[in-house]
Amino acid sequence: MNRRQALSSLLKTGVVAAGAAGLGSAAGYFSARAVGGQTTSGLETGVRPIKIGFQVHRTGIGAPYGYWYERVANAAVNYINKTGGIAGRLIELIAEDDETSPAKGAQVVERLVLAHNVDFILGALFSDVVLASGPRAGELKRPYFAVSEGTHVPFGKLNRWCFQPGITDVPGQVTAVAKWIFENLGKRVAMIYPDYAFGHDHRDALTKAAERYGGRIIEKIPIPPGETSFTKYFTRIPRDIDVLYHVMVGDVLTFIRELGVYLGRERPELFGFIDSIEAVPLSSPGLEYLEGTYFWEGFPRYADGYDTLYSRFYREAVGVDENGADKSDPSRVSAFSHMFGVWETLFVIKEAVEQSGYSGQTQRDYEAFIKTLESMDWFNEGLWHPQGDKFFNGRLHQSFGHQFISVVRNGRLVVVHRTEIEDSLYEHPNDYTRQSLF
Amino acid sequence: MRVKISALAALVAPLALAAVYPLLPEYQRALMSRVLILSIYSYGYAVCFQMIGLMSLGHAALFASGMYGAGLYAFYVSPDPLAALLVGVAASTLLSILFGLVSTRVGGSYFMIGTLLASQALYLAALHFNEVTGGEQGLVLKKEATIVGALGPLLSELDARYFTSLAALTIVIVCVTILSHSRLGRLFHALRDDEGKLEALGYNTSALKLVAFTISGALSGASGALQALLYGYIGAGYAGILNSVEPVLWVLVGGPYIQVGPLLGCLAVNLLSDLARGLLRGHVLTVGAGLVAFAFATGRLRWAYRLLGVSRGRG
Amino acid sequence: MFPLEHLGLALFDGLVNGSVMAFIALGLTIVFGIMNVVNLTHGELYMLGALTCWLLVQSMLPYASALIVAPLVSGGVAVIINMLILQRFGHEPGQTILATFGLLLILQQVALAIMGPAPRSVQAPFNPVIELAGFSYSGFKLVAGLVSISISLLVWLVVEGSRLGSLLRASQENRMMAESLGIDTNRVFMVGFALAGALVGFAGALTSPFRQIHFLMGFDALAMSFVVVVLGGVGRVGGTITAGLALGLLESLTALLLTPTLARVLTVALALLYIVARRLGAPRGGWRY
Repeated sequence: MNRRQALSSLLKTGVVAAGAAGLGSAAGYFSARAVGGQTTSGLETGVRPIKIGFQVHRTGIGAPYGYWYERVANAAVNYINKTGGIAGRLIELIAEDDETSPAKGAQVVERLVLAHNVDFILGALFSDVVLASGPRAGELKRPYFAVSEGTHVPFGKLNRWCFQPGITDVPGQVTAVAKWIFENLGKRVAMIYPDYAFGHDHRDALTKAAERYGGRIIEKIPIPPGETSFTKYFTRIPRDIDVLYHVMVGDVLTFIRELGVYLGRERPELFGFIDSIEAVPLSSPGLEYLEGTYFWEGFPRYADGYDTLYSRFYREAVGVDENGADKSDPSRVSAFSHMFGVWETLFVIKEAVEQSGYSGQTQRDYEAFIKTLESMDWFNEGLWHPQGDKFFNGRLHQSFGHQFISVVRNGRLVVVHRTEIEDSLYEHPNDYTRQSLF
Repeated sequence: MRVKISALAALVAPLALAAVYPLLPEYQRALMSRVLILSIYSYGYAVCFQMIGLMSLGHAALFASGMYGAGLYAFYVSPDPLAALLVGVAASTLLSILFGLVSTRVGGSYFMIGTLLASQALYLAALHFNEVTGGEQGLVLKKEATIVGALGPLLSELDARYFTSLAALTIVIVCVTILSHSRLGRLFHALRDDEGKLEALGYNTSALKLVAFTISGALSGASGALQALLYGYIGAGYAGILNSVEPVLWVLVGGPYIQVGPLLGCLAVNLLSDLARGLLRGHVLTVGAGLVAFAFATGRLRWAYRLLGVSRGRG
Repeated sequence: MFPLEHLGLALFDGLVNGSVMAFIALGLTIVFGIMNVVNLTHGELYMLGALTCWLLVQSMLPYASALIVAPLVSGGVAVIINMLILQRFGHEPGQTILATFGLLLILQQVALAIMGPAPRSVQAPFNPVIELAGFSYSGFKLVAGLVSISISLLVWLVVEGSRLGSLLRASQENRMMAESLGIDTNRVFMVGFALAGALVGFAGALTSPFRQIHFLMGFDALAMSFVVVVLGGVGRVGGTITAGLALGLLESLTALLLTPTLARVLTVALALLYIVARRLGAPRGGWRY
């Protein structure tokens, strides 16, 4: 990674320029009236606002994430509008519920483009929604930004109009933490994962990483969706493993409780992905069993896990306390490991618009926007990227970043390791830049 | 007389849908295309539910089999939309014969749960064989494998979707109208109203049910195949139980005339829920309230009483 | 190779899960099986029971209070739904399906507004880990299983053995006849709804300490309940109990042998075959495909 130093020193002029723009005279005027994503006061200055459509899981299975995604989006838009907008224009955020359904998701893309005429679309978390929506966005010629961690964008399943710059993907995450797991917790691993694409991504990535780092996957236990009782599957867990790797989304509280009763105290090391307990307080009855077990975190839930000026600012802006919960309701824990992706994505859009000189929905403007974005390779840590710096692969349209590994200690998550960006890189032949845009 | 009016309405409906197209704003054109495809599913469902009085809770599997048949063919075998459409319809026809052979042997609630279980099995299998089907995440078809891609040189995407689905829907409406007036259709009605009498007259009611179920499944599958080939996405979400419940609502809302009811019901439910989405934040709540209000507002659902009343007793 | 060492656990866990499934389905047996009302809100009434439990425990009340309040809430809501809506159109199936599906969506959204989108849980009042022959098991879950099966058997005795059962059946089968005999069928239906709602509300509170509470939990419970009711033979309370236990055992045993999802597919397929095989009994025309 020698490129890295060279490139990060090449601070994008846009970054500096936009920071300065925040101090511009426009800022004072806008800040008085910019409220959330609702403002349209840009019209008063004679400038059309930049419309960003937002496909959000307000209802359905993705609702725990959707609530926080929407909150973060509003906070980011609020901040951007207060500090000069995007290239001097306000953002108008238009949010629509996709019910966490692929059919509704694609319909929402049509609504956002055809009825609201948005400039860009901030996309969804759930992979099926992203995969159904991406083709529609490509067809309607609107850049679509997934905040999903799925493999749909980097593995070339979508098209040149789809990006995932704000959050890392599952193979990147697993590749990075696998090294640490095999080196520190042990080589013999059993996996429990949901029996659908998200779980299979984990299975494939960990299996690949095991080959690289000399680990062994002893047993793979896929769990069917909608299961409410797990004891019957635990009999498949071999007794002689070092690590039990679990990424159970769904009825997770039941899962942990039953696992506790089944395994008891003489258990292997447990390593989980925070996705299963995202938005769930660690103090929930039954989760005591997680004490002493390890988790991947995208961005540490507890403030002391990664305490920087930027992360503090971000936490304040989205209204989350130092335990990762809603400031006004401590029982409402945030989706902290994922929702930063919404914040960072909005700033990526801002940066790309300002650098490319995008001004309206013309073919030329979109071409400039997309080519500019594809030519970026580093996002520097800062207020815009509080989770840390990221390497952006313009061929894959995917970001690669740092990952955190935490242990549960006294009912809190304590960070024990932060991976390097290099640890998460993988090879893939996909190249979106070869596709034609129009 | 009534029958003639409803048949006439059925033939006017496609013309009206074609005529209204130029007047619609862009988004409504896109929305209508989606609803027209679903209307085919609605007709398919009605053939089973309304004509012979069997309430299935597993039609999502038949819809999805058409979708997977067409989609997987276009994805793995050959990017030929027409062949894919045929494969999709063939797949759903075969599956409905299989489903039908098992489930039409039982009536009423047992039929409901039998079809529910069968579709659940298919749904889980689609998830499990993720390497082939793409699981819940799904697969995206290449553009040239879709109907929109094939019509690309001639029609814009919006037009291609609307008129392809309208053409398909027209064929379905004509077929269903002819069916409802044919001897077979009258036998279906007789089967619904009094199975015992029909049997006493020497008819093979089991075979009749199987025929109706297969027609129903083939139409549902055609709808699924069109969905795959017009939008280029297939996924297990369409095989889920909610997709089996929705056509029940459409057909109930649509009213007693099978020539136009399935279309009207599907239009009403989908367009109103989209309207609610635009007006209100909590649109799911609004849809719920709308369904309750509709249940109150209408006394026309009496026909459904007969359906379920008849099929129940046989259990 | 059959994993014999896990057989004990599989059988035991299957029976406990089966008892709980049967108990959740019990209310549906009464409303759908006996009274023939397609009540799609059954699962949401279950969710309401769990939600009530969570709310009470949140406000520092003892868990035991939920076992009293949750049945009242769910039973009350069931009665209100019946009185204000379903009774108005005489439980006509088409309208009932539409209205209860609408109510299902409404109740889900109300729950979403009250407890938020994230899953919640409740601490069990006691939960010793019990060591049985070669495996350990949650003490509370075991008790919950025992309570489930006891109440189910009690309800079976009451419905089959008392006047209530025959009143419910009579009111459903021939309303006019029943009324001409001086039976207030509206009141009979009301009792049926109240009993079914209270039972499933109690189940919601009972299962809260070992199942997570979530605004979408009702739909799976509804589908599962329909399956159990129909497997057991519509309208037969005893059949529902047997079907619940059988299904629980079947799920456990297939999970020992097969990949979990394929085990589920097999369970579902076996249930389907059973339904068909049982209903095959001598159709008038015979099978002539």
